Amino acid sequence: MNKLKNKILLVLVAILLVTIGSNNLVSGFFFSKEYSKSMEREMYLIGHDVKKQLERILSLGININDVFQFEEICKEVVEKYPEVSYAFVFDRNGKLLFHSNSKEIPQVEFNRDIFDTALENNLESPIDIVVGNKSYSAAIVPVLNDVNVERGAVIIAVPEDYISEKTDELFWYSVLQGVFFFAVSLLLLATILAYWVTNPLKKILLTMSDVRKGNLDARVTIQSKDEFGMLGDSLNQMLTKIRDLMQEQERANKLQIEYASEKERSRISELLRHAMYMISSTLDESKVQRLILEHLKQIVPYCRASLWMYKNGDIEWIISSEAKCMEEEVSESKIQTYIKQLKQDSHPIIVKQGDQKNNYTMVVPIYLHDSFVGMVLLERKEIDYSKSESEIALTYISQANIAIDNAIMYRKMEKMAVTDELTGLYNRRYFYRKAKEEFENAREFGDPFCLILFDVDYFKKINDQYGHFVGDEILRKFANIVKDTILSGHVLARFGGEEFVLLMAKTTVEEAIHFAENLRLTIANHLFETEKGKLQISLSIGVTESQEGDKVEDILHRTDEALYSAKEAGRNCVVVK
Amino acid sequence: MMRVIENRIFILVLFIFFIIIVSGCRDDFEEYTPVTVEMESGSEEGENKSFKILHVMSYHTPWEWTETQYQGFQDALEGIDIEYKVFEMDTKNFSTEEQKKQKGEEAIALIESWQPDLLFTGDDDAQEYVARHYTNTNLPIVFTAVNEDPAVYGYDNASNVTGVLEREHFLENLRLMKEIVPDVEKIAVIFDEDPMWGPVRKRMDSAIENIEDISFVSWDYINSFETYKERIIELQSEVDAIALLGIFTFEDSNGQNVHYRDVLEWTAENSKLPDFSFWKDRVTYGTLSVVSVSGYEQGKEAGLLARQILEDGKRPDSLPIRTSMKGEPLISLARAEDLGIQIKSKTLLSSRVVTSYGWVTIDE
Repeated sequence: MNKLKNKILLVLVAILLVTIGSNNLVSGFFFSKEYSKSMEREMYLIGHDVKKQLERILSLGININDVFQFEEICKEVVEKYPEVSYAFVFDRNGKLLFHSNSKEIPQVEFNRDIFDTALENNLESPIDIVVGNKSYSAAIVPVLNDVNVERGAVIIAVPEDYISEKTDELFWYSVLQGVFFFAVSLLLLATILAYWVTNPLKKILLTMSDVRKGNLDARVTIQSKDEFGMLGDSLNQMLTKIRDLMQEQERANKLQIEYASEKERSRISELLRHAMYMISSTLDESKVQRLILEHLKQIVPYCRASLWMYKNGDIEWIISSEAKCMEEEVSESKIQTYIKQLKQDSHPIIVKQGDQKNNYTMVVPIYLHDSFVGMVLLERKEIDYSKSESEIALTYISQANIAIDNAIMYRKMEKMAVTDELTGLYNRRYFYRKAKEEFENAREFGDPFCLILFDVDYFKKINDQYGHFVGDEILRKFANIVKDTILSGHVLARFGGEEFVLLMAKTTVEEAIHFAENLRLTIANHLFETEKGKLQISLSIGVTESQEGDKVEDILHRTDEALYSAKEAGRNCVVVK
Repeated sequence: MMRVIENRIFILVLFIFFIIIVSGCRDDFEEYTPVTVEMESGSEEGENKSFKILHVMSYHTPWEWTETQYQGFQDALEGIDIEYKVFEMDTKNFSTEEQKKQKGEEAIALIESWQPDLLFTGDDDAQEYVARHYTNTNLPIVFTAVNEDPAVYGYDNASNVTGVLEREHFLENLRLMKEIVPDVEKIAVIFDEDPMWGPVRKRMDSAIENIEDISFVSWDYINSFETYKERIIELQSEVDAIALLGIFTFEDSNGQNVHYRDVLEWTAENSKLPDFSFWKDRVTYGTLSVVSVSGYEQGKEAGLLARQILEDGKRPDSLPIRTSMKGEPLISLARAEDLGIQIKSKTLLSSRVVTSYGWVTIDE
């Protein structure tokens, strides 16, 4: 604003300076001219006064050369008029008769022709004279006697530089006046500019500044009907329209947001419903876990997700999504930090990693029956997780917990259905189901398939002698020893009482015999610690290899025969059929 | 769309230009332009009111002495509406006692019939035969050119009288003489035997007490022309100048009065000493210098007193009787030339100069 004011002031100052300067110049020129004329007139008037006095004396009949002490009159003139340097009286021949100089007779030089012409024509004339070495402007006033015959002349002299000094002096007065006027004008202009221009513009700018800060209700106070008043009025009208448009836009945006929000809620709701349906449709724990990650991908987009569950008191990684976009693994320390935090607060944790890769993490806890059992880590880049996303994720996980719980319960029930309660080995039912599957696979791919059936010798005697409790204890320890010796892919089951069966897929009969022999020896040499003391047992083992055209029942039958044969053969031996 | 601001700024700039131009040309020539100042005098009351003044002069008119008195009086009252009437007693021609009384009665009759607002009386006879009859009345009286002591006419105790006395300008005469002849140190004074010179001598003695550079070495009271001549011849070597005062009653050897003009003519022809006197006609007859009582100044001083009475309403007795302060210098250039005296230009210009002797003019 000050810049505009300064610009206008600069222009007006320039105009003022030019005007004052030119005015001074013009007035100075005319003043100098008129002052010269005025000075000339004054010299004539003074000269005329001296002339009258001299003529009065001459009128008494006194010859001009006999006039006595006329110097006093000349001196009086110089004393009376400070601008007059000299007053001279010359006779008609140019001889100096009287002068105003009190000390010495001055040397006066002038143009004699002008002097003579003035006397001849009885005309008052200007003349330049030199007294000493100094130039003077002078006026010749002829003096006549009674009969109008010129008798001489009065010359009044003023220094040539007097006029210029006077003019210069007055010029400076004029300049001073100009400066004073300039200052007053500047003050006036500044005040008027402030009133007419700067203040209205400042008000407009202040209003615009308010608007820029968001106050669309700001308005310019209109104080005049000039352009600035109209500008302010136009701005006010414009602001009113902008405010109305903004309000309309705001309403439209609100509706749009509400619509989008509703749509998103609907989508999420549908997703949740679908996800819950899907997750509730299976009792497979791993499938449930996989579905959880898939559903979360749709509900809360992530780049990498991982499921962590407590098992036997320790947190364990269960499953992860594919994560090509995430380079780094989650460190153990972070996992422990999340767990610690989630144990204190059951709400999801949103972590902005703050590293240079802009990784964002959300950790959603999994609670079952009010117990913290695990968590889901969701990670992505660039976009931070919102609170609403965490709430949706928590909602989904809360619902998914039921499915997890169901799957775990199903897994436990299923395990109970195929497990022997005493030994923890598979039961006879599971064995039959598994034997059929493995047998079918072996037959399909032509793999070897063996079956071992073994029985604890004289186990009835142990029960009778030491009691069932000791018998059960021996069976449990026996089962654990066998379980530790079998290979992966082999299925061990309690066939009934003290009889056990081992299904050995992809195993040749030699390998089966070798295994059976080693097992027999291991058991025979093992001392079972019981409350009744250390006891030894032995095994009778029947081994069978599947043959072409066999059915499961056929193999089982042959194995049972081989076992029977081993019993018959005195027990603690291996028989192959 | 109205360009209000542009118009405002344009008007403002125009106004400033106008001020600049006007102020720039304002006062440059002011002090060199001749200015005529008209003096306004008199109050509104004075301008609107008219007065009647009767001027009773002891002598006659036209005569310079009476004319200048009357002119000075009128000039002092300029601007006031006044109706004048003049009564001439003409006691030069009606010089007997009877005649003077007769004239006085005529003047009194005129006063009674015309009822003036103020009576202006000039010279002694008008006081003796007219004005003194109106002392301590409601008629304001202003006199001028009175030689006698005012107490003679009862003016010292009169409530309605004031005026201007006629007194010789002795000191001014001395100053003029010194201006013309700076070397004058010793002066002789000549009187005739008329007793009227007693008061004059008395006033001169009083003034001389304050003069240091001039000494009055001789006071002669002479009765005969012969004695005068002898004394003048004697004085040529005794003094530097002569004050020729009383020269009216000289008698020749036949006992006849010698006219003062003849006395002066003889003096001019035979005396080489500068001389002076108090009356202007002496210059005409060869006296070198005179500072005369000015009829104009006498009249003007009286007019100023009358103005205060008429215009300001002042009582006459509140205005002290005075003498005229300013005399009229006169010089006889013819006598100066005869005496070989060069008179300074400044002196000539401030004096009335008589260039020839009166008898030459008469002869011509």
